[in-house]
Amino acid sequence: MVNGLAWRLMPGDPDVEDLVQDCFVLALDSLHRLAEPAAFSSWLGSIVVRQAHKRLRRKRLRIRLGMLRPQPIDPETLIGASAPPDVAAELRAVYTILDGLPPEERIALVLRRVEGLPLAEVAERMNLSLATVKRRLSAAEASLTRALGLGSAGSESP
Amino acid sequence: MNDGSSRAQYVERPMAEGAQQRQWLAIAARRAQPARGAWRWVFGSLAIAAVAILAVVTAMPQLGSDTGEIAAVELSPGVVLEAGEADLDVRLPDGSQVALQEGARLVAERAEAQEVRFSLRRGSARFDVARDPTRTFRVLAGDVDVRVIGTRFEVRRDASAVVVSVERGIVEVRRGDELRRLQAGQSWSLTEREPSAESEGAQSDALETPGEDGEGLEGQSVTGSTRPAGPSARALFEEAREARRAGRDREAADLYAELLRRHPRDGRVGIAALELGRLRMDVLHDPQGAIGPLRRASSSAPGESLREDAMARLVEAYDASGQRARCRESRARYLDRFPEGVHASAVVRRCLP
Repeated sequence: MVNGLAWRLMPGDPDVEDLVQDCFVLALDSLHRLAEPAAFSSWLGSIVVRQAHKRLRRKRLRIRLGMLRPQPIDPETLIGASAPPDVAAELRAVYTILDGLPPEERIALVLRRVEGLPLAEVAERMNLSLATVKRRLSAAEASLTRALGLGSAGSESP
Repeated sequence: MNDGSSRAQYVERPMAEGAQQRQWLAIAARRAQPARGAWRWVFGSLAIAAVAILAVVTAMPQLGSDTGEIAAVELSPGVVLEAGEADLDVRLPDGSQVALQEGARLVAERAEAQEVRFSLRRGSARFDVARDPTRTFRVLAGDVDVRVIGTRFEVRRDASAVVVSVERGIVEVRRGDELRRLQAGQSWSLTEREPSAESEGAQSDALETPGEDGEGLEGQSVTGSTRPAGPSARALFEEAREARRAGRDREAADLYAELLRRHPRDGRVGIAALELGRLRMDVLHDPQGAIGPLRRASSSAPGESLREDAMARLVEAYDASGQRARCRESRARYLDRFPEGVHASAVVRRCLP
């Protein structure tokens, strides 16, 4: 789960391995603070999101300062061969625009469109209010709509 | 209905055989490291042992190091502190600290209750002086006399210039009858100029204060001397970035180094130092050469995340150059400041025997 989520948030990034290890160490060190065992998956997902956010922000700053060359994501290397054509097209669009999005929009889009989480859970994982998540998603979805060549944004379900 | 969960199954991370097992081993190894409190205890014990050893070492006329070991020193006139091919940190009995960059040579001329006086013969030394209003702390660099009461400052001397930079507190710089008081963030320099037909042996000095927008002055002076010749910091920085983007890494490194040399107080120094450190590590395979710039970037890079990067790379540079004591010290410093830092899992694996 951690490997998969980290990869989908930062596909092809050489930092993914360190990110995964960080998340497990943090989780194991703070397991005693988990009040509800049933919430383990969501709690662990929050850790991954938080750590990925830090790394994405740092990477974006370095690229803007000219200290790092951007390495575009190649969606064709990410999407499994068994993906139905419509799913593959949407995933292709998501990962084409991902690097151009600010970190919070990027994470919100992946959690919503790829992980398939409800808005409330996206907000919980990102430790943001529902209103803020909706704003982030709205901006990201606008970029996605343009990439998909659609006339209007996709519908949202709670 | 959003069926995104099925989309996740189409974007899975490729894992080589045995990768997960290696991952768990790495996680277990990291969690097996002793707690940071224990590290402090170990370092504290080492410091006590070092002081005991130094009671013997101070009998030697010269104390230097090529291994980057940290030393506490009992001063007496004539003691010479010299950093060889590695930086040298020294702790004085009153708690003051002196950090000599590689190649620096500092001679203790006076060590009394009312006055401590050093002579910087060459190179660069940073002083973190414990506050004591009853004691004068002086550093002489040629005919330049730097006096402080509880502050942190750096004095750099080479064949052509003396530069005094203040990080904290107030420093008096005297030269003959001239006296300047520098505050935190200010620097003063004295450069030797080539003899000219108009003024043979002319010297110039300049007082610099970083601009409010962090751009940094480029040769602004107080006493009417001219700007230093050569490209501006902005020009050097842009050329270096262009070279970097084009993949001309060696050229980029040279340009960053020139920026640091010509414009040591410019606001771009932090980024330039970090980039130079990274280039020397990754492209030029010169970890020893990366240490100086990375140390600089650790304190002057803009933003906490870049300073964190610099500190992590500094640990790597010490490790790669075999300076174990420095490596452990810088690792502890990083983990103390960034316990959940993005580089923590890599840093904690460094400096192992």
